[in-house]
Amino acid sequence: MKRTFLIIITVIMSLRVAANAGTISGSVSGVAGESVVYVDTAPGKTFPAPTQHAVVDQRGLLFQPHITVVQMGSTVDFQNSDKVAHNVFWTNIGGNKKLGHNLGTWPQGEKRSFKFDTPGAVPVLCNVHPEMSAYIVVAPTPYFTETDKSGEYKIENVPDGSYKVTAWHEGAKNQSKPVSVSGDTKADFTLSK
Amino acid sequence: MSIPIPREGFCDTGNMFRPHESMMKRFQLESPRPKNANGERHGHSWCVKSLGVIFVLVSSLLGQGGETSKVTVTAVEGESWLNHLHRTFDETSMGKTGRLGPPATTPGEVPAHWQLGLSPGFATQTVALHGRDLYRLNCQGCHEESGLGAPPEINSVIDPVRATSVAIIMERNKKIGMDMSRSAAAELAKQSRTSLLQRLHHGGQDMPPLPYLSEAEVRSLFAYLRQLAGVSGAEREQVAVMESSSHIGEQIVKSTCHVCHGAAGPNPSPQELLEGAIPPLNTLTTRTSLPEFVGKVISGASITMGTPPLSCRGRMPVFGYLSEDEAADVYLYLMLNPPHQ
Repeated sequence: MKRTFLIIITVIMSLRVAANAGTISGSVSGVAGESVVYVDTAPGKTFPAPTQHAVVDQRGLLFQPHITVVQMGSTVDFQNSDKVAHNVFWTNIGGNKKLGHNLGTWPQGEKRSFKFDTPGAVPVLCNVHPEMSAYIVVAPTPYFTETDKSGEYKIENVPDGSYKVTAWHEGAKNQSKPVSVSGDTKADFTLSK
Repeated sequence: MSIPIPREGFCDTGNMFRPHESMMKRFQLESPRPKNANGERHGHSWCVKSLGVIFVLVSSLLGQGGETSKVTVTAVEGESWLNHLHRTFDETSMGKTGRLGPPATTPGEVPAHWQLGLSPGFATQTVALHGRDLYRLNCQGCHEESGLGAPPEINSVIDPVRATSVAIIMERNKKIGMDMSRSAAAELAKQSRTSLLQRLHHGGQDMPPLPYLSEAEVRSLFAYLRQLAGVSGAEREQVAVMESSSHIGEQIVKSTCHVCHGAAGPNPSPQELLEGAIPPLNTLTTRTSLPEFVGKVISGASITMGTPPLSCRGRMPVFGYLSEDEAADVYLYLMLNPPHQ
């Protein structure tokens, strides 16, 4: 009897969550290629930092992937798969120059990690190979996504509520707008350099 | 220890000192004697130069060469670097200069002889080399004169070297809107310098190590790399190092010849040569004379290959950026330091 009751409660709770989780979708225009869209602020909510590390590889004199989006508090492993030494440094996070950091220079087969506790875009460079660049976009919430090449995006499982949603694109000015999520919600952005 | 022989008039007197017949044969001192425009032999000057070579080789053999160099010269050993990488000669740009020797001679055609012209002080005096020379001896065979290499197999040296300049780091980051402090740039530059020097000493997965270079040589080479990479003011950092003949030969052999040639092994047959075999270094001084060798290194020479053996255009690149003295240094080094497995 007790067991049946628990099952019923669980099913009801699941349906309730499903009913209150929506999506934010739309497009980012005005720029070419992939952009990042994320829920910037969710008032009154905190999110535990993910335990799984993101990986940025240095391979073929490129950072791969070029853009990585992580939730604030995530750790990123920078690994060197090339036959030459690479360096990783950034001069700011989200434009804040006090957060510039030099992670060091290391050879093939080694990796160094960094935990990103501050939101914002991190322009990652290699001092040895100036043509190499990458971005870590640190989102304050777990609700984020990267657009496809045409700029279309969809963030799923966003609880109903009011948020500030931000679109980021390499070399363009960020654009933020308030979005009230109720089921499937649309939000389009037009960015400029 | 050295044997005092007069440099001038030796061929005319002819009775003060004669090299052993086997040595005359070994260096083919008669056969390549060149002719001038009138078809006359350059008997006197050529003879003096050749005997000078014999003199230094004999004196070097007896005295084991230089006290002039503080570097311990050791024999080259082991498999070629290409063998080490499991890479064939045809699929690499390593050690290739983009220049080949002359086409094979046609039947009946007499191949041109190399007119050997070594410096009067060849092998008996140390010579002052700058970083530019050390780059030629140790790096140019793969990274080319420009330092750009042959990507993706051979990386450019330019960017890793520019990464050691504080001014360049600050300037290029400013250009992309990523201004940084001098202290932050200095930290990056120091790391890049450490990494680059480690690479010079220890090599990399694809790059052979250069452990035979002294600290002074590495400093001189590094200074030239900065000049090559366009680091402002680097031309004032250039320093010379005094080098012995044997050590010059050692550098060329270990950094360039040994990329393709194994240290020791049986001499391949003409048919094996046709099939791609590369002769080992330990047989070099017995299968070729000094003038032949210098000529082959600097301007190329045909090679006998196949069954039946035919004169063919050799596959070995021409190293026109080496001087005759430096090519002869290779020969001398291999004689004095027999390669081994």
